[in-house]
Parts: sequence; structure tokens; C-alpha cells
Amino acid sequence: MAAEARRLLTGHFLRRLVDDDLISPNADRHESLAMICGCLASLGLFVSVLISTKYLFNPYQTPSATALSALFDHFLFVSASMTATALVTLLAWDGLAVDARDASVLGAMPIRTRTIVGAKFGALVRFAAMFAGALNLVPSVIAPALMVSKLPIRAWQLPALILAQAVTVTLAAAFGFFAVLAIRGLLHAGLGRALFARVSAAVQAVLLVAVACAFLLLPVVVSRMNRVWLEPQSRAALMAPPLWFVGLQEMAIGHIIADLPQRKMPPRIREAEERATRLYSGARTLFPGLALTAVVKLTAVTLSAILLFAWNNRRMVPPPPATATAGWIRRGFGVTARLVIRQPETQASFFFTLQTLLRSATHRLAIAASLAFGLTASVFAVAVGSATRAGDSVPVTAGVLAVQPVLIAALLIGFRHAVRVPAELAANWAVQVAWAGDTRPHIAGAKAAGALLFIAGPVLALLPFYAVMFNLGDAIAIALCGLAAGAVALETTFMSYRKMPFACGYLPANLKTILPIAFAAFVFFTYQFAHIELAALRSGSAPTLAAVLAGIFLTLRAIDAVRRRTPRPFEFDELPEPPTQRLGLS
Amino acid sequence: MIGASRNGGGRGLDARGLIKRYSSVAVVRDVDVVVRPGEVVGYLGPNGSGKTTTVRMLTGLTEPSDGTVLHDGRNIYSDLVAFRRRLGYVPEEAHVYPFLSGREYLELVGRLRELPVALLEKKIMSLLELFGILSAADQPISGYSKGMKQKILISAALLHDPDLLILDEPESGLDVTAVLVLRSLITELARRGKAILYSSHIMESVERVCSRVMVLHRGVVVADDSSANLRALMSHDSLEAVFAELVVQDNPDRTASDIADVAAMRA
Repeated sequence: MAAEARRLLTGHFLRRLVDDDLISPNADRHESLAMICGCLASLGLFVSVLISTKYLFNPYQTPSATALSALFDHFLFVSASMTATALVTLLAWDGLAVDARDASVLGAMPIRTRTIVGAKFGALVRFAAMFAGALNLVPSVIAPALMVSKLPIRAWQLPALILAQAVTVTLAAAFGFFAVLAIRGLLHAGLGRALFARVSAAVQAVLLVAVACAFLLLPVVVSRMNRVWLEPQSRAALMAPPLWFVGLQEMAIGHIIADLPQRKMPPRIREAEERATRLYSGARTLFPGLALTAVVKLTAVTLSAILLFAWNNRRMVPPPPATATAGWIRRGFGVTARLVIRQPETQASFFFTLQTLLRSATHRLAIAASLAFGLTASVFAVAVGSATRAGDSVPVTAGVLAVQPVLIAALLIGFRHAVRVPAELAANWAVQVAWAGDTRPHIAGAKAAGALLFIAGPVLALLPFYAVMFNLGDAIAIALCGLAAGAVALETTFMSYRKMPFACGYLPANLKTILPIAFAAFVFFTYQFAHIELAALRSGSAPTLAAVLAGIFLTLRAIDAVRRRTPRPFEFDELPEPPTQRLGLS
Repeated sequence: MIGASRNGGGRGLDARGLIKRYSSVAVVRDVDVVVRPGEVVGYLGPNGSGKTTTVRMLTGLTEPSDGTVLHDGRNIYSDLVAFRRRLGYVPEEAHVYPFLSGREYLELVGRLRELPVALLEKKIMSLLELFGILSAADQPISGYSKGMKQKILISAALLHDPDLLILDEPESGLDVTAVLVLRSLITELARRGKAILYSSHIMESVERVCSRVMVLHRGVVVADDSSANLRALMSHDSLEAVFAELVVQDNPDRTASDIADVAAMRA
């Protein structure tokens, strides 16, 4: 009886996790899942083939050089599996425990709490396993096969390589999953139910940004991994969890490639191969320790996650009612904002935008993703910009200056996406019924909130950084330029927006067309702006640049005001085209 | 149709020949709804009879397939915004933004209705206090009970002092005291000249507060008159009996007995 209940509940929890918590409850589950699986499989195939070209097009593929090169490939696959699984687990953060819905619906059922908790845990594990499987299946088969396609390996050795890769990336995914679960459990147990409920969203957002940054920075990290293996002073990096699992994989199958018999080769290749043999032999001494660390840490994290999950969910208690949160800071902010923004509809939109962006999980996620992208792009900007400007006599580099526009642009892109997503689809009627027929004050309110959060926020946050890097005067000039440029960017991104922010049905954009254009524009404008800013700082004309940008902003605003005089009709509940039309089948 | 026929035009809400089709299936057919200032019209019907569809057409949230909706003699679709400025609406489902607090939700609606800040704050505080939910004013609505959400929706519908109130199952989730307050509130609002359409399943409420009753069955109005006239016309002593004769096809006692039998089945 309990087993049957557990089976049913596991299926229920799994479906809800996928349906409600990850995919929009209004979306077609099958279509969304097919798209996700298709994306993961094709991404895996693309990366596998791409990194295999160095083997496929190498006329003298040698064992030790291949074994050494495979270290980087394994690191990439292990890291991607770990961080991607952690990311997806973080996306389902609110569904990682028996929640209020479960307590209210299942609490009255004649089912033991441990059956419900077991089913929930089982659903979570299945969910993570399904994702890790979809992500790793193709690379686990294709990458080893392509890597050894020109090497004289025995028949049983290829399946061994495939199996070892599949097991390693699955264990890495398990580590990512259980680590998130353990962190959540630890916070819940340590802070208590009520306090955890208050900080949970912020913790989720911070972890999302951190893990997303780690995921996006993988290509850079992989390209610098040679130091870890080859330079003893860089071995502090061996603390990085993906390397433990790389060590485990090398322990299992590293010898298959490295110990292959050497063939006849030209002297230059032989010399390189001998060097690779020495280097790989040096790295080999690290593998047992790393493998042991992987096993110990994975076991510890898994056990911690299970125990904390069981402890935190030992009683099905509905969450305590949230306490009043209208503190004096919020009241003070509200009064100030009302003094600055006079029109009631603009006030409504301003406050509603802030509330939605900070409290709605979907919107927070969009902003966290854009922040992660912005931070990653900033790291790239500093790395690239600093390298090209190393010989400059002026200590200002375009790369460092690009951090501010890159961050602001990334956040504004996320914000522009977020306003198109309804705050709560079913509650749209409230805005629809109360709407006075003019979208201008609503868009103005949303833009004001966006300017506060995504222009003034980053500018103020970066002010001390620039003050330390340069001097206070330059930092203020950079801040002024950032504010003006951000205002121009915000005005530009909202030029074509004619609907009600957060209160219309979401229509997915044609990303195939928009994404490459947006990315190219993002890179071009942010870097060009950084170079212009650099020139302005060198010539002492940064305030003039800020003034020019302010003028452009005011011009854009005037143009926008003229364009919006004639209202364009729009649908609150506009539905997306059916999938057949999107695929061009009708 | 049982009851008196009504003349068109004039003040208040006047909908004629409303039809709504979904995929060529008409769920509401040729429905006339007339609500004059000071009048409370009860709108009754079993589940799936088309009540909510009619209400959504009357509020402009769903466009009718055919028919006209006039408010004070003007087609509401010629200036939907102007109509909605004078409309207060409580929907059947308590869909609200769960991450806002009750106070924040009312502030949002009030600002969208362009109410002056000082007046809005005064109204919000007073309404929350009168509905007995002031202590929960700053809690997120996601933690509210169904009744508390309903009180927020009723407050939101009254904030701008509308001329026309359309209430779709407003008693849903309310406790006995709140239901009594609501009934008195509706009577008082009608006395002050508001036109009120009151859609409900609860016969007792409709009988007590409504000056006229419309009964919808399978998308068609089958009765439209005062409760007293309907009782007299159909020789019944209660509205419940009138409703049963008009729309209930099966014998409720027999159906109840059959349900109890099914519940008592053993393997």
C-alpha cells in the first residue's frame, strides 16, 4: 500500500516539478520537454564534434598527447554536467522540499509523512537523473568514440571509455544536484522555517548568478587548465570539484590511451610526444588523491543532503504566515518615490515593477540570468581589454571601462524581457479592468523602476571600484557617463514596446533571428562605448560625453513621446501562434 | 421565458441579444440583461449554464459573438476604458497577484484608477479595517485564506466608487458575518443609486438582496422577474423551489440517494 502510494506520489511530484515549477503551467509540456531535450542533445553533439576536430584532423595522433589533451575535454564535460545540473536544481529551488501545497493537500490523506517525503525525494532524484541523462548521453558516446577513432585500441576499450565518461559525468551531475540540495537543507535547518522563508529567494538568486557565471566562464577556465596540471604552484586549483571527478575518470581509464604502444613518427612529433608523456606522467601522480577526494566528498555531500532533507521535512507543517514587512525604510522609499513620480498610474507601474521583479520567481530568474551573463561578459571584457591595452601609459583600460556598460546592457536586456512576462497571468484581469486606456504612464513607471534598479544600481555599485582603480574624479565622470548611456539604452530598448508591462500574455520572440543580432549589437556598442569613454577620459572631456549622451536621451524621449501620441491597439490576452504555424506546417 | 419583458435604452446596464460561441457552439444564446441604477439583479444558474461567460461579456473582458452591451445608452465597446472607469467587478475566481500584500494590491488598483494618494490611503485603511483584515494588510496575499482574498477583491471593486457593480459569486469563501455584511452592503449601495448585477448560486442571498432575478439555463434566460412575482407565477413559496422547477431536471433526492449508494459500495 505504502509502495503504491509512494509510486503514485513520485509520479505526481515529478510531473509537478517539470510542469509547474520549471515549465510555465500554461505551456505545452510535451512541446517544451521535446525542445529542451532536443537543445541538450544537439548542444552535446555540437560540442563533442567541435572538440574532437583536434583529433580527427591530426595526421599524427599520438597516445600521450591525446591523453594529455583528453584531460581538458574531460574537465569540460565534467564541469558542464556539474554546473548545468546545479543550475537546473537551483531553478526548481522552491520545489526542492515538501511545501505548503503538499502540506495542505496531502496532509489530510491517510499517508505516512515518510512516504510523502520519500516520494518527493525520489521525484527530485529522478528529475536530476533525467536532466543529467539528456545532457550527457550524446557526448558520453560520441566524444570518446571520435577521440580514439584513429588510435589502435582494442575492441573492449571503447565501451570502457564510454562507460567511464558516462559514469563520471553522472557522478559530477549528482554532486552538483546534492550540493544544491545540501546547501538548501543546511540553510533551512540552520535558520529555521520562518527565517529561511524570508531569505530563500535571495539565496536562490545569489547561487543562480554564481553558478551561471561559472557555467558561462567554462570555456575560459578550460583554456587555462594546463597550468593546474603542469605548474605545481597552480595546484591550489585542485580544490575545484570538477577536477576531483576528472581524477576519478583518469584513474579508471587514463591508462588505456596513455599506455598505448608508440608508433613510428617524425622526430618533431616524437619530441612533442615525449614531452607529453612526461607531463602526463607528472599529472598521473595526482589522480589517486583526486579520485579519493571525489568519492569521499560525493558521499559526504549526498549523505548530508539526504539527512538534511529528512530532518527538514520530518513534519508536514504548513509555512508560518509571513510577518508584516512594511518597515520604515520601505515606507520612506515609498514616500520619496511618490514625491518624485506624481502621476498615480506611473506610481502604480513603478511600484508594481519593483515588486514583480523582486518577488516573482520567474522575473527574478530572468534578472539573475542577465546579471550572470553581464558578470561573465565583464570578466571577458576585463581580460580582453586589459590584454590589448597593456602597453598604455594611462592606467585606464577599455576592458575595465567596458564593465559598466556591459553590466548595464545585460541587465537592461533581462529587464526588457521581464516586462513582457505577465506577473501572474490569471490576475491580468485586475489591470485590464482598471486600465484607463493609455499605456504611456505605465511604461514610464516601468522604465523609472528599471532605471533605478539596472542603471543607477550598477553605477553606484561600481563607483567605489572605479574610485579605487583610478581616482574619485574619474570615477564620478565614469558614473555620469554610465547613467547617461544607460538612459539612452533604456529609452532605445523600449522604443518599440507598446503593451502593458507585466500585464499581457507572453508571446515568445523569434530568438533565431533576434539573438545573433542582439549579441552582435551588445558586443559592438558596449566595447565601442568603452573606447569612446576611454578617449574622453584621456582628453578630459568625459563630462562633455555625459552631456552629449544626456542630449541624445532627451531627443529619444521626445521622439518616443511623439510616436506614442497615437495609441496602437493591443490584446491583453494575445495567444502565441499554434506550434504548427510556428513550424510553417499550416 | 417566464416574467416581464423590459424596455431598452435609458440609464444603467442594458445588454441585448448576447450570444457567445466557442468553436461554433453557443454557450450563451440571446441573453438580455438590464440593470437600472438602484436595482440589484440576481443572476442565477446551475454550473456551466453560462453565468460567468455572460458576466465577462458585460465587463468587456470577453467580446460577445453577437449582441450589444450599452451602459447609460452607450455601447461599452465604443469606449471600453470610459465604461470600466465606472465599473466595479468581483470575479468568480480570486485571482490576484500573490506576491503583493493586501495593502499593496489595493494601492496598485487605486493608482491604476487614478485615485489621489491621500484619499486612496484613507480608503484602503478604512476598507481593510471594516473587513477585519487590517492586521494582515502587509502580509503577502499568497498566505491569505480564500475569504481574505475575497474581501480584498470586494474592497478593490469599491475603491473608486463605481456606478455599476458586477459581482460574480462574491460570497465565495466568506464567513457568516462577512456574508451578512456583504448583503447589507449591497442593499446600501443600491439605495445610493448603484446598479448591481449579483451572480450567485446561493438562493437565500439572491432572495434577500435582489429586486429582480434572472435565471439562466443552458445558455438561455428562462426567467426574469422579481422574486415575489416568480414565486406567485409558479405557485411556489420559495425561490429555491422556483429554481428547481426551472432548471433541475433530475430528482435531487434520488440523485443524492444514488450518490450515497455509490459511496457505500464495497469490493
